[in-house]
Amino acid sequence: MTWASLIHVVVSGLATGSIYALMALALVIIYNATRTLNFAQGEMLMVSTFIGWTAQRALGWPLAVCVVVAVVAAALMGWAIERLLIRRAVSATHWDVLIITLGLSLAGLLWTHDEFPFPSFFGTRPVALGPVRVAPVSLGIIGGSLALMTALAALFRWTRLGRAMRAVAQNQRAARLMGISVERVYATSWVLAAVVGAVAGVLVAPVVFLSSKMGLIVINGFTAAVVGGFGSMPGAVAGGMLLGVIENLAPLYLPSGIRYSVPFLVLIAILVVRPGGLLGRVERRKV
Amino acid sequence: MASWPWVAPRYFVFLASLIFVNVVVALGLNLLSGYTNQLSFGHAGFLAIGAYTAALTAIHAPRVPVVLTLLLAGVVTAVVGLAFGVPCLRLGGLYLTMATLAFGFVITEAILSLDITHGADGLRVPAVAVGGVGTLGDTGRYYLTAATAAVMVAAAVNVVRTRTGRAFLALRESEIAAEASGVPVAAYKTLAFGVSAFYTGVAGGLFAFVVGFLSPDAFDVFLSVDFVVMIIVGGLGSVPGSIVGAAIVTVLHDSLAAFQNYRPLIFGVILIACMRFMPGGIAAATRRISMRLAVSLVVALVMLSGATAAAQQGVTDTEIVIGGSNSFSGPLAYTGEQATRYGVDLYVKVVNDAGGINGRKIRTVYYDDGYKPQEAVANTRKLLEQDKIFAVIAPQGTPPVMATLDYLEENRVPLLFPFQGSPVIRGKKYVFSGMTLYDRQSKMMIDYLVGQRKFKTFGVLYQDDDYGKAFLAAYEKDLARHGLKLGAAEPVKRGVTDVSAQIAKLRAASPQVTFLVLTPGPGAQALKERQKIGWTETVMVSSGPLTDEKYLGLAGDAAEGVEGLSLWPDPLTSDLPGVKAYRAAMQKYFDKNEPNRYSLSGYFAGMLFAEGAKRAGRTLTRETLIGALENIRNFDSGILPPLSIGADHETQKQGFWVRVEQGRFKALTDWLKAD
Repeated sequence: MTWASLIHVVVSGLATGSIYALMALALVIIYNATRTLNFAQGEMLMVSTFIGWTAQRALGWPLAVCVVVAVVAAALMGWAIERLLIRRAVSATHWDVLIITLGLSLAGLLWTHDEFPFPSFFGTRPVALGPVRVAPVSLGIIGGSLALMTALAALFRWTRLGRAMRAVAQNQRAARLMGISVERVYATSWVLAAVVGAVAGVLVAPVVFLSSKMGLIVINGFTAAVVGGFGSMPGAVAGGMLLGVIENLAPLYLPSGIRYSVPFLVLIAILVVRPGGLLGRVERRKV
Repeated sequence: MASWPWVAPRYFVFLASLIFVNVVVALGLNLLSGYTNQLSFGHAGFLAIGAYTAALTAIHAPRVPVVLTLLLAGVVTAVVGLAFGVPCLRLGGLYLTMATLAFGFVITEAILSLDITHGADGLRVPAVAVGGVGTLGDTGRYYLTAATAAVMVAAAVNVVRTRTGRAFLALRESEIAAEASGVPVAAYKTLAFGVSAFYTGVAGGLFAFVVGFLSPDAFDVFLSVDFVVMIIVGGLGSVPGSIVGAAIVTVLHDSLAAFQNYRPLIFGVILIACMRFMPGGIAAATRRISMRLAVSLVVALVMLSGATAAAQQGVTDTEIVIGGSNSFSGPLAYTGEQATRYGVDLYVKVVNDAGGINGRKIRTVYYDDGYKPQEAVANTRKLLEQDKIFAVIAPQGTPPVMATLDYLEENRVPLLFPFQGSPVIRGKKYVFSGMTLYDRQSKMMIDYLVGQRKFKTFGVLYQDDDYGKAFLAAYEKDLARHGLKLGAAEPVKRGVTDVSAQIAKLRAASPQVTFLVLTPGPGAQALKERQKIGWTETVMVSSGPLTDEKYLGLAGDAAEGVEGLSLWPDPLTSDLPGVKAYRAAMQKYFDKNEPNRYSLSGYFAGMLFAEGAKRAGRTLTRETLIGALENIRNFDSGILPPLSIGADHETQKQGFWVRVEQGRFKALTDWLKAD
């Protein structure tokens, strides 16, 4: 194995990892606001990507417009799900919300059972960077994801909305007492998570193809979020990237028997050693 | 209920047995999730451990009494559950759920890679032996599952009434409060985990005996989700609720077999509706449902779920009923749908509109198995015992087909033209192959590549299951005949999204020819990956069923120059009279559906069945059909070269070489044969 091809495998892993990271971020955004898992995140990604694809195929709109269509559709979908289903059950326990999203994700599987090619902004023919050859599509995925992550970081750090969201994540009651509309934060979180999912979907669809199976990527997103520490955004990014690279490097060095279990073994190991994940903190619940 | 199996139709006896199995799982899961509030998405993994333990015991130590086998299954599962659970129990709710999810994946991976479990090939479970005198039939298994379920229910009822049960409930309400009240939290959580695993393990043992065939595909995360649905619908923290939930979900699952891919949607809606309008499930909605009510509901559901008795054997004066279990969801859904609904049914429409076969119209029934063997078994029994089909036509995939082989053979039902090429079906009296078997394909490919094209070094990228391994073994054998060896072989797990590492490793071995033994999605990814790293100095050769337009479409320009063995003429451009007729029929009946090789293969299967039935004449029975098919000589379909079927029941032994040029397969040779 030469260095050049090793670097290619790592870059490819980082590209996959960026998608995991985006999924993990979307999950963490909803978790921070509502303290629950969104099992339907993968199906939301799938449905919004399909809407973008339909705009491209049926209406012949340019790809850039279709991405916007996918994002807008995702935002609407996130808002509708929160308003119509989640909010009405919010008085119930977190498990209830989790089960509702599980139901949504099952329903989403109905969408199609076929696979379709999806156009990309980036080609797969390799470009040479010195001795290393990398595919523009990998760089595009990494670049696109990093841009979105930076935007999210800025949103959470410097905007009023971002501060409100962080406040709710920290202590809902205190946030409410400070005059923050917690309901608005809930809705925004769902919209934001749906949008992040849509971008991830558009980025990854040219690689894994469009199918209802692509929703299963949410499982890797969960793993990434847990590895990084559920609730921590930098943790989600780190977890996703780590998982992507490990998953890609493992087949190079491990016997075929255990290699596909590697991400899950890593997950279990990290949970045993650091129950809060890499960058997370173990929550102490008070009575 | 005791005398019931003697009067009820066979299929419902089977269904009832399945309900009892699920009741035990639901009880186990409910003890964990409902009572101590630790949601698990890994119970399919526990079920798998129990099932494989029981199956292996029955295979290697057939003298062990069945009660002991079940007990062993429970204990082994509990031990594994504790070994996994103890370190994970200090994790909070959400994290524990994640860990159980991961556990489920690790278990299926372990089954796939262990030798003793036979990996993806699956494991046939012998019938339960009773005291060395005989084996249990459907009725015996019914009593076995019913008795076990009764014992387990009684045990659960007792557990929840004791101090332990109250401790579990205290944990659910608040761990901190429970701890403050002197409940040893860690000990009871561990206990709940162990008991839950034990229950599920016992259920796994029953599952193995009832279904009769195990493969890792059966125990995926969706099965775990099904279990969660059971306890949510029935009611968290309620023993009668578990029973009702398990019964409802099992019966619903079964009655939705005809609605195929709507199943997840319906289950999803049920989950959402339960949470919105009936949190606490049926148990809470009816306040306190009594045990008697729960049991009578189970009985009513089983009885109600159908009471049809059609004509014998599926042949009447005016009708022939055929059908099959196929993939309408899962990884091979597209193929399944095309081969049956747009393939077999297309020819059936042609025949019926032309007056049928000897005055009889053909009707088809299909159920969805999602590529899972246990579903295929249930569906096939339903088809045979309830829909009374005459013959099974065009089922798909090696694990589902293998799981039903023994049952069909026992009942002397023809299994016609399965869409799979593994040689396991060779030499069976009631089976006729549906495509050129993989070992014959491999022989043609290697002979052509080594003999005519003079290639010397070979590599393989194969799917890590029976399909991939069947080809791998055949390639190795055929290369050895020419004194050659495989330079490199890299496995790809089914459904994996990134093959860059495998491609990098194959490239390092620099073979002249690289075989791809994959499904369309990963196959196209492999081609794109090759394009990404600019690896041009190898000829990519796709194997068998992979050589089709679907995969070309996904790969785009990365597929240019790919070669392969094609089993079917180009459905879009071929001038052969049979293919033209196929296109015309597609245009007439399904004008929105693009012609493709899968539907062409199904269409051909329909044609071959019709030919056999026509030759069998007016006295159509299963035996006369077999005889008629065996005597087909030089049948000209206009699609494949003239075809003769002999005593070996292999309908096809040919293929031709193709290369992709400007997005289409171009034929490079005439028909190649492997006799």
